[in-house]
Amino acid sequence: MKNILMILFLAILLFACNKEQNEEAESTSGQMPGMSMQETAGEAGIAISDAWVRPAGKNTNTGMFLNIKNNTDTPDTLTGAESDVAEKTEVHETFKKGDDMMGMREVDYLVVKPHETFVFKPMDHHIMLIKLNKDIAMGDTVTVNLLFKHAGEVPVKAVAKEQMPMKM
Amino acid sequence: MRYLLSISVFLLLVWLAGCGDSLPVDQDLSNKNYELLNQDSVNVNYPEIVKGKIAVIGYVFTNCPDICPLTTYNMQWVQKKIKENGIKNVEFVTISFDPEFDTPTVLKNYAQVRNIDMSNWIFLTGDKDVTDQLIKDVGVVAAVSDSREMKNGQQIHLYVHTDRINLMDQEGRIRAAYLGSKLDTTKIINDIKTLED
Repeated sequence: MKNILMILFLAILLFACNKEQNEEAESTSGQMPGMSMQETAGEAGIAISDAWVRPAGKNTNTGMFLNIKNNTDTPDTLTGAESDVAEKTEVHETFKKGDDMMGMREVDYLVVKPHETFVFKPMDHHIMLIKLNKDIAMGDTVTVNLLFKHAGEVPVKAVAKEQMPMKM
Repeated sequence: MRYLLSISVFLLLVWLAGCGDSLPVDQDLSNKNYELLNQDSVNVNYPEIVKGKIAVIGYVFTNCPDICPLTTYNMQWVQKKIKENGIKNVEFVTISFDPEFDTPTVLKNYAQVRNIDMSNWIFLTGDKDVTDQLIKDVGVVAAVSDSREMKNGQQIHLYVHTDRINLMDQEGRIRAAYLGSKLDTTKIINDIKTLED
């Protein structure tokens, strides 16, 4: 009986320690609550939503994120982007290398399938604004033109904000 | 039954040993001295400048559009939370691994456009040999993966780099490493509380 009580006591201790570590391991990465932004309808069935850009200083780079929905019955291809706010505007993707290395590279084109949405999101695809010609502070708005094979030029307005961890 | 009890006691001791040593020293910088510049172009000695404080350290380059801003924002989040929790004596440090581009002026602007509370936050840059040695000493890797030539001939570099935030104790010893862009804020705040005791 004494031994059984001892094992029970040890099991409770183990459970308590394990519970504490599990609580600590909760990740808080993710997207900001209330990310919804303006809905911008483009020409020829391309609809843009949730466009936002990260704040950044003049002469540096930043990334823009958005959703592109193709409302047509045919695929469309994003071939590039232009903006007066930066010297160069490119389509980029972030990639992981090994366990904890991250990088990014230019993407030549992206196909948006019929009636599907392509999401540009942090740690994934973004519109790269290279060498900004002015500061983009919190709340500022920038305009970027997306260039599609079929839809042509689709203007996008994005408000500057920052992403928050998902939970605390 | 005695055999079972012995096994249980052994397992418990192993488990408790792990619990008690949650923040082992990873890198000891207490005897190192890196001569750097802060965002106001003032010469500082690191880590001396944060000794006596717990430091949350992020490694970035300001031309990074995605991972580094997440790291910086996660640090802002932690800064806000520890203030709300009444935790004091914590300093936030952002170290550039692209110092040739990230001058003090660039770093200061990086902070301003993000509304960073600079009351307990410093940005550090300096001679590239020094920043290279510093990041090497803490196990951070940053390699140029691509470059763009601007109209004025300036080269802008893009890096493949370690996604890292470190926690350093009051003695200048690195005690924990986290993914900067996916920071487990609950864990780092608990770890700060552990170092505070």
